[in-house]
Amino acid sequence: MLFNSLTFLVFFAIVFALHGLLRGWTARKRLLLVGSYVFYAAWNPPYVAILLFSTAMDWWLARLIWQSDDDRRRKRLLLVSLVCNLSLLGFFKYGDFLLHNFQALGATIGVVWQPPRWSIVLPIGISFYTFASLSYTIDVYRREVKGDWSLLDYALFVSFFPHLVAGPIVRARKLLPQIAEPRRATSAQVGWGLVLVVIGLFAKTVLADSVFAPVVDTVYIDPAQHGAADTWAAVLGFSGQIYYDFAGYSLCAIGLALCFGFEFPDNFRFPYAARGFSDFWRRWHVSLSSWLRDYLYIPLGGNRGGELKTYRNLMLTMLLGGLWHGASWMYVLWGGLHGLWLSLERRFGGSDTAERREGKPVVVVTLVTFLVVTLTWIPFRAIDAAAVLAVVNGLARFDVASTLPAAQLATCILAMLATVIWQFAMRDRSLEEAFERIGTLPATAAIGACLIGLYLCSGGDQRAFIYFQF
Amino acid sequence: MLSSTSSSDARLPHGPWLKVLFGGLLVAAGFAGVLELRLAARHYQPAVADSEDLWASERHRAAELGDRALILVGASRIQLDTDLDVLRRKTGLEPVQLAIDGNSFVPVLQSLADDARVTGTVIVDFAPRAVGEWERSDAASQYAGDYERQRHRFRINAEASEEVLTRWRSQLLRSYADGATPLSSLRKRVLSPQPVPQYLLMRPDRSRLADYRRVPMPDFYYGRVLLALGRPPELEPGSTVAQVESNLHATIAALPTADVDPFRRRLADLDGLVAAIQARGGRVIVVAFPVSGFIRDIDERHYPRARFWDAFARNTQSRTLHFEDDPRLRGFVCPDGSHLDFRDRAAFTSALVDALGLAGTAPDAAAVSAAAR
Repeated sequence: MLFNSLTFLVFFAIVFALHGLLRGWTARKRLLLVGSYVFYAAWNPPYVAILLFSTAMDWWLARLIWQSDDDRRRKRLLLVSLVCNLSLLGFFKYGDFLLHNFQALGATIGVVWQPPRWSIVLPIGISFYTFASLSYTIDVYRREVKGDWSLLDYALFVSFFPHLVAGPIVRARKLLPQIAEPRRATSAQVGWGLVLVVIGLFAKTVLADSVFAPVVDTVYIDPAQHGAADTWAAVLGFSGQIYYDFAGYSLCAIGLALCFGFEFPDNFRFPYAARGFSDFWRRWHVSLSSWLRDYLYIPLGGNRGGELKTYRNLMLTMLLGGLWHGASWMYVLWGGLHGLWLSLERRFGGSDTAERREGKPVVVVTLVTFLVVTLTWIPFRAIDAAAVLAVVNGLARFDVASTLPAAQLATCILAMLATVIWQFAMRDRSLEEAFERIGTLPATAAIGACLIGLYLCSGGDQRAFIYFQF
Repeated sequence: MLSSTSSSDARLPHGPWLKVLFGGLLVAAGFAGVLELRLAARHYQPAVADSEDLWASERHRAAELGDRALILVGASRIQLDTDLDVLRRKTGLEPVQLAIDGNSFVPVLQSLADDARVTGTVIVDFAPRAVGEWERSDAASQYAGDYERQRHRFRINAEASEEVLTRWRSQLLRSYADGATPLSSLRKRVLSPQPVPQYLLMRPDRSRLADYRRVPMPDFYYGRVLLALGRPPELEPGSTVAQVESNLHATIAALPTADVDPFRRRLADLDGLVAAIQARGGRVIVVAFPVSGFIRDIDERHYPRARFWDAFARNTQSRTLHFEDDPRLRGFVCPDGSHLDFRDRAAFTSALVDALGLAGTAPDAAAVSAAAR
């Protein structure tokens, strides 16, 4: 069930209305839990069993960890949780990938083996709810969060539909206390929550799907056929597409949760205004980057073991972060490149503190960061290494003639240019500040314009959110 | 986007956000209303777009109705020429429209023949090309194949409900007519100085209505003829009717005849499908639907009746009817050469039912009359 579908509109209207009618916090939580499972089952009903299993197992293991004072037993229980969660993720997400890589490896040493045909569908959102679940058992192990929550509260934390399938990866320590405490959304929360949903849907449907995606898809499907103008437009366009797609989804998730009185963390902070790569990762998919920092980079040693170990830890974190996005060497390459940029920045540029940045032309630093991030998206979007090379060749091709409609090409480039300027201007501000500042009438006009855009662009092929596949 | 909702109500921006939202909704509803009114003023009507799901739901009905089903198979001719209400009223059977525009009837007939639940009456819109190109892969083969693969699958999911809601929206709003988006309706039907006329209307029961008064004649007709000849449908600027017709005559006269051998080789297969349905108590009737003018000439040139239709009619177990052989059907004229105008559908369908002797043939009707006797 996509947030940008009519079915979701009906689903949300029913759940929201019933939630308002029900008396009693437990009844409302049960409704949200049932609604969330219906939401998940709308894709593939049998896969609800995996979600149930994962939830019940981590709830039970965390409870045992919490109750135990024996460090060795607590460690063993945590290990069971890690192995079970990562095995589930590994089997469904990386099974086919591993088989084919074993086959290729075998072939290089003369072992001819045909792996069985892999026809298992990836359970949607498994990467997100596995990470949310893992953070809970680890936090309970670290005694950073208590482990005696009711099964209802814990199940709602894992499956709450706004964040279930594509994040933000909400930490247990943030959401569980909210679930435990009775709450009812204020009219201000509902109003602002719905405004965020409208803006998020506009970003997804109008900007990502209608402005950027047509150019990106046309070029990436056969990059060798396009000249420099088209290829540059597509490469810039994908920066816009993936940002508006995922930031739009995150805004919808944050807004929907707010309609029920829950507060989710920010997931994007104007990332294309970043000054350097560490700054970029503090602004892009914040819930994942902070998860990787807290549960991978720091446990690996972070920057505590000297320069070389810091680079190793950065590379490992970013390579695994890349692989988290999908079972493809292209994602690994994308993660590896970001690891490299972070290491180089650390080696030559230092961290991006205000003092270090002082005196440097911020516009140039911002543009260079944006350009490198944009080029680094190429392996993320391209289907294989040959396509990456074809796109890179296309960028440098002398032939600038365009095969795309001029209006489409111009809209894509101008929209991306406007995005960078807007993000630069908004870098240290927020949407809330902007809306507060412009006043009621312009805000109404802006929301009206977003809704008109949504209406005009509705009715075509619905595209799933890019991050659903992860 | 930084959306600072993470801490508390204190970070919520101050403002009457529900009022802002309501105001925005009013603005958008006003815009949508104006667009709908402009489309109505230009005589556009709400219409569903054909889809695989819509076809599959009708295909499901064809099986569920058993011997009460009157199943229509073929391409655009049977889809535009038949009036399902007239068929229902005159035969007492429940019509099921399975024709797919521009596609072969063979995969659909094959799907019906392979399904033991199908025991109704099947009317086939005959196209010799579909028999000669038996293995052709097109939307019909995809629809039929997907239906067969998915019919045993449990299917209550968001995709199914989205299909229903989308169809409902298309039936209500002109801006979504024919599978358009409001943006394309605005650009091509409201803002364009030469709007694309909506001469074809698809109904939720998959029947289609063609209103040829809404297209510029005879240019539209000549365009269709050029398309049938495999050319772009544009006439040479400045050419007179006499010149166009003279060119078309000359082109058609030079057309080669289709190879009859592939057609002949597949006649037995075709009859096998007929036999499978009729062995279960079903009926298969094969009809050559009306064509006119240059399209008739092209059909006759490509697929001469004596070598194709007559050869088939002589060797099939199915009942056959060629429109030229029945005076009740012969007089209908297709404005575009290939299809009837919607104003002629009811009369044609009534005449077709009479010509086929299908009036009052529903099993229930027979039972009622037998009981009365």
